[in-house]
Amino acid sequence: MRPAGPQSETMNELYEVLPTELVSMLRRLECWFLAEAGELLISRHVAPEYVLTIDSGLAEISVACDGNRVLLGVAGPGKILGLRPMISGELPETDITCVTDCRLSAIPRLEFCNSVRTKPEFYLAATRILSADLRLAHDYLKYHSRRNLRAGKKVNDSPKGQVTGVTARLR
Amino acid sequence: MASKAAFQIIENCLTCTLRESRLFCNLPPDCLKALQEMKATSVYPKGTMLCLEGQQPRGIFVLCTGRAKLSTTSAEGKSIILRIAEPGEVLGLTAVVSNVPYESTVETLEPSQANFIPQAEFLRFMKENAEIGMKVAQQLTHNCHCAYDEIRSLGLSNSVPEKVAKLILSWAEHPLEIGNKQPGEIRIRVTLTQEEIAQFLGTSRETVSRTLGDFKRKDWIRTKGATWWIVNKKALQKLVTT
Repeated sequence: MRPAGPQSETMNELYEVLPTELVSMLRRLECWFLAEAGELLISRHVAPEYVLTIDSGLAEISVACDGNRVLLGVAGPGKILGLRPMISGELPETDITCVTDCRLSAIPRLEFCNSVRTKPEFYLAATRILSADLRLAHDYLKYHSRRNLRAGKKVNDSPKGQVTGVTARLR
Repeated sequence: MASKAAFQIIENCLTCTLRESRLFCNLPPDCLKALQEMKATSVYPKGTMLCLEGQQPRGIFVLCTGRAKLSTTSAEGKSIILRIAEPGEVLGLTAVVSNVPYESTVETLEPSQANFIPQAEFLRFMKENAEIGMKVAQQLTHNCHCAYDEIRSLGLSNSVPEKVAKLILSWAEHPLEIGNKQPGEIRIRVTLTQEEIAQFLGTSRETVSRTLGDFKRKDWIRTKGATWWIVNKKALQKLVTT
């Protein structure tokens, strides 16, 4: 990612449901980046430095699996990335890669955490976002069940390195 | 604690000796006191449906004791077990938080105690308490982690014996503390039927039966009803390559 200049305020799925004063506080912490298509925004097992918002462009969310990648969905403008590692303190389990050139808003993880730690309205909003992520994962399991594998339908038919799976726009 | 036919009922969260080891239950005393007042404690026999997939959310269930299976229906109409919920887990969170129908059916696998908290009260409590909100968020991240693990294992070309060994080893992380066992053995309680194990692993009951028979012949495990003993943990671990 490379730094970018400030831009006019954009909304994301978190800001849409937070009180105005909390949104203003978070906006003051923002910086901006540009990322090229193919660039990894969040890498599995690497602690992210920032909580990111996609302002423009698309990024795919995938789970690495024995040399293949299982595509869970495509994230668009307004999607917030890196929330789960910030909340749990654990490393990400997914890879998020730019499909197109992306413009991103970023808040350093520690500053984000310190700003929202004691705010119940943040956690209420965050749990709704996390619930949506979980539903996406469960939908994948539902439509690509092991019984499908037993019946001869493969999860990944393509050669290693290619991405297959359900594509769902998250925003 | 009250007891009925050797089933220990935990009536008061504040005096529960297990809460510190559980993600959601490890709360400050004032939060626990508030939860204590809004919860309804019930004991459910094996096979009780706590939530039904597609049902409008009524509230959450905190599983105090026992285990429950979370299952959903695949596109082909087959039952898929998403995961097994352990004591301390909060069930029905996604539906209650987002106000959407329950996305899976939750069925108890053994006699279980669960605390029910109605949706409106739980959401009000979350709005007033950052600590509760954080615990809920942490529970959901844990659930996401489990789901991604399942997605990953879908794409792996593990053999059935490897999957069965991996499952048994995961159960060994919650062994039974008391009861007969030889030195070096690990005693566990398995409340899933072979058909349910097959559903969970995406194979047939016959293949599971054959695999378990093979493990027994090699003296890796022995079983008696719902009680299993892991006799040779190293052998099972050697089988698991991922």
